[in-house]
Amino acid sequence: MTLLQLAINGVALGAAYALIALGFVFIVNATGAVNFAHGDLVMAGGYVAVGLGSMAPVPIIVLLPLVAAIMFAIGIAFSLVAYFPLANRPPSTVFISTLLCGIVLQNLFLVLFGPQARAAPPFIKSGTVHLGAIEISIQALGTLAVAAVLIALQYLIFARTQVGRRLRATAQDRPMAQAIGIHASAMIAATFGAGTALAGIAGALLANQFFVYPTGGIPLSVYAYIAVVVGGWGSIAGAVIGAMMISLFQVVVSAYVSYAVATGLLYVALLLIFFFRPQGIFGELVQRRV
Amino acid sequence: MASWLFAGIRLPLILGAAALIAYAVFFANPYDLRVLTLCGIYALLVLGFQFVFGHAGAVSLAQATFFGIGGYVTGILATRFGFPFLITFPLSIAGPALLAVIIAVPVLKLEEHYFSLATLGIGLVVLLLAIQWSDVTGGTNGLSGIPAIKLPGFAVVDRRSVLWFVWGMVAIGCLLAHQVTRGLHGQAYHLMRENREAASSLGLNVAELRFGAFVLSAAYGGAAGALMAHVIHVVSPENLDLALMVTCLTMTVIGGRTRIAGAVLGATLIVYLREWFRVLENYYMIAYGTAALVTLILAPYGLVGALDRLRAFLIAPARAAPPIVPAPLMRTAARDASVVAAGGPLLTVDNVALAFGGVKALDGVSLFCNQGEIVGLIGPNGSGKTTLLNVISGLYACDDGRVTYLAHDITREPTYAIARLGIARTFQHIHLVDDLSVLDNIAVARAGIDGGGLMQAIVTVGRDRRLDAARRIAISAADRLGVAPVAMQPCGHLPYGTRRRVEIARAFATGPRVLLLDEPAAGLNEEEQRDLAERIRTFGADGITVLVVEHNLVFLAALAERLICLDRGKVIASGLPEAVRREPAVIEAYLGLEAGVAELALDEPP
Amino acid sequence: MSDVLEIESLCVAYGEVSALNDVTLSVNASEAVALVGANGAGKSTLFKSIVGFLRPRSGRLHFLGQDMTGVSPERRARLGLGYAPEGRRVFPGLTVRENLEVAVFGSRAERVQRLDQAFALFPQLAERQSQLGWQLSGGQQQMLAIGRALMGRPQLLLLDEPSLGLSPKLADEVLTAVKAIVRQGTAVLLAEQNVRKALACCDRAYVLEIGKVVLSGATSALRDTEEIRKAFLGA
Repeated sequence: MTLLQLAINGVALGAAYALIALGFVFIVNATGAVNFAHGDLVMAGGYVAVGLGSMAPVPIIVLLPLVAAIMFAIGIAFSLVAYFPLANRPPSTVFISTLLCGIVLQNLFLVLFGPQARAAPPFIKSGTVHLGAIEISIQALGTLAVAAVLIALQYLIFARTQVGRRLRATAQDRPMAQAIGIHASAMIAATFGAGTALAGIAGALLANQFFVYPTGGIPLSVYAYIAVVVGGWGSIAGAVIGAMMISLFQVVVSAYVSYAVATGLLYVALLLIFFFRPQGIFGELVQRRV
Repeated sequence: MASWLFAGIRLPLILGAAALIAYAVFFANPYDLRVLTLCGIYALLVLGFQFVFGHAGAVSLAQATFFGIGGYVTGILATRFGFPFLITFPLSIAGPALLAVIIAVPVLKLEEHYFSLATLGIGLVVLLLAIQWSDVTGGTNGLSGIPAIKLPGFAVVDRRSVLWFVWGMVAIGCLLAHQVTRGLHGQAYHLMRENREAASSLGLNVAELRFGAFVLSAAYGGAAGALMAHVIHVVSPENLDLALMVTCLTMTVIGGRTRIAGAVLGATLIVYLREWFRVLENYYMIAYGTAALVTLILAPYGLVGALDRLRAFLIAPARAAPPIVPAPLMRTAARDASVVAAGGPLLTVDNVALAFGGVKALDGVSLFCNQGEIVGLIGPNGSGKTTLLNVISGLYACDDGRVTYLAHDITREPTYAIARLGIARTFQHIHLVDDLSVLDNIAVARAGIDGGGLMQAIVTVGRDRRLDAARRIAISAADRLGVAPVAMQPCGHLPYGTRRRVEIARAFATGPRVLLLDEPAAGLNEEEQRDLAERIRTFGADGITVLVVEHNLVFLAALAERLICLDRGKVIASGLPEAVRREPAVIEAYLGLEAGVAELALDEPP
Repeated sequence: MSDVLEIESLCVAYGEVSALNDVTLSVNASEAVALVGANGAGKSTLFKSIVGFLRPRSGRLHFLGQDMTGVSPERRARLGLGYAPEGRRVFPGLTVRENLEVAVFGSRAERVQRLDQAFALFPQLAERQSQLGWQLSGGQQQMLAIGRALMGRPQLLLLDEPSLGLSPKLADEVLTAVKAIVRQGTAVLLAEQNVRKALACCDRAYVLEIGKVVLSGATSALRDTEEIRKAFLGA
């Protein structure tokens, strides 16, 4: 496989990872909390897609808005359980509560859907598209398109709308936001909702090619965590770039060694980054605009 | 004996333990014995985790990894090389400990999130190694056929013997944990958790404390893992994975992060919860996760903490403590008595500059203090007074300039070293440990000064004499600040003025030559201020140099022999108090009055 | 003249620590009132109680004639309470324009109109519309904080130590705006350590010392009194 082909594959996967990391960094920014169940919420989105798909066999592109809406609601419910009761405790407590929620979710999946891997309906249809020497699956194209649209949408909302400004203000200084009339709790719940919706969409898109299974979310939580650290804690652009880097690394390296070794090298690379540049690769380059 | 028994929640815990033992001896079938054995193994794991997570306050995600490495070392050495228990067990402890030592230095430097992620990353790499390096580790299936524990003379084969052996190990682990976390050493951890800066500025080497906790946690993890391998005769990647880490976290959070009883209670409860909920078949993990989450929300100090609170609620504590004989405060060993005798200034700040972003917090500040002098450092908000104290005490590194103390350049010395040399300080925000008594809060000041540390804590038998000695010094310091009457009360509920005096007493208890006080009078009423000023005056009479940062010029009026005024990072006036107070630049800085200059036309119509 | 803010016998404590003891003060609809006192006197505590971040132990706090017990900070802001806190606290990642816009809860047309008014009051902000909050100087941030607080068309503006960390000249610029603000219909309660400047731009003043009101009256009567000087310099 040529390097270009590998790069294309990496970018396609990275689009999905970017959505996951994006949702993760929203929650980090709004609450300072690391949501270790984020990957499980990605799986939840996949399962929702699987469930909807079994009820009405239509392509994902039609189901996506519904998946997003359901996941938004799940995100708000999640915040009511894992975050708000513990908002005044040290952040490590929220970290633990999300871990526990993750366990509950994983086993909920097991009970509801069984241990076997499930696939969601394809984005439009299965098959690949050829662009010269490059081959890219329709699923991947669809994922790229959706990710691009959502990232642009996210940017527009945050940069151009009052809601977006209020979300950013709440994330930057919650008491001050309250003092100018912003309903901070609602903003935070909405952030959880939005972050979870993004995770769910990523899950629905990934579920066709990579399948969903109860414990599939665990590595995704780790990747999101790594992406945000590598990209510079709290930076939205950094999270997206970090996610891309992870997927490119995985795809390119695992063409030469086994997938497991590639993953291992990824973690080693992460540790090296820590030792030499603890603030993340883009820690200073990308200003914390949002 | 009776008072020991009835203290805290000891009695219910001992009764509970006795009940479990009776059950194990008389009623348990082999399956139950196995479950109880597992409780012991996890208790050991959690005990270890408590060092780094509970006492040092760092969320390490490598505990399961250390557990797994311990198991694999035992498995590999026993099945492939046939080494006996007496060799594999110590190596199973040493292996993870060695790994911890290697990764500790870079990893412990990282901030919260990064530290957790780094430990997680290490765990994931080890997990992958365990799966991939199948020649050595047996791959996904792991290693089986690990023999039972064989000690010279007898083999620990039947389930009851295994149970006693494992719990015997747990008892040793509890004893060791008790040695490490009681007494002065334990209080040092408590203060470090509360506020690292306050701990460093009392001479505690925070990095060293965290290192010790991390390595200990690894050693315990390895021991528990080795025992597990012998009990279930198998070691596999499951012994290393994230699920086990989550279990360990859950047990710690539910039992109690810092209490030994909490480790045992948490481990036992979670193991049994799994057993009970197993009835629900597929739903049992959901129920168990939910139960854990509910406990997390409702019992922030774990179940042991909740039991404590319940007891305190039901039974008012009887605090009849034996009288403590005060000990005189030994001044920190004067390394250079000659310098002091020569009459040179004790502390010199030479052209110190420090900028944050573009803002010059300190812009070429120079000052000096002689021995026994009480110098006031005044200036409006934002003038750099606290920043200067932070530079002197080592919390901030200045960009330029020098700080000299007893003819030594201490500009780049770490905070704890500066404290041990004899410079102590207080903070604007008081950081006391609310749960500890006034006496113990002050006594912790000796932990960094009197040396000792982890190894000494471990080998101390019986009463912690260092704690006793520290308490004697503490009562003396408390007396100097007038808080001796409330010495046995916990700090949490004391009025602000008293807490302030306790904090100053704590700094005083390090036996300093120089005392840096940051706004000690803030929040005190007039009478308290007069009292405090009087006490600080006695420090000066004792030969202690005091540099007091204050806004409150009334408070300083009677106290300071000299005043230095900062404004916008520069010294704008220095000298005798009366002169400085009438200095036009000072009046301008404070009141905006410009003596002799036409008034600004602020009240004229635009 | 109705009282915009009425506080009677307010007691606020942090745990066991009494920060405000039996404080009584009021602000009328078209006046600027100064609250002076040394650091630790309780000025910020009082403001936090008015804004709603601290619950008083006892006493009355009425804003626009309504009892504020149990009313959330965001609700108080919407009722007409503007707050420019100590240390400015502009939103660092938002531009000047966004800092102002985020505080308006009305139509787009209203937003534009109020932006224009804010820029008219502080032309320096207009020049820097697209700069991020953290990039501004101290004085500019102070102006932005005040402008932001005014965007909600408040009945009362709480100004906490605006001159902190500013050069005398900049502090003057900022405090000159106080009179203009009152003329535009917003009452002002100004907390300041810089007594001279505070008294120069306000009609009445209260002096706070360790949580108690020790002196109060019209500024013309208080200005340059020996008592004020003594309270701050001990001479």
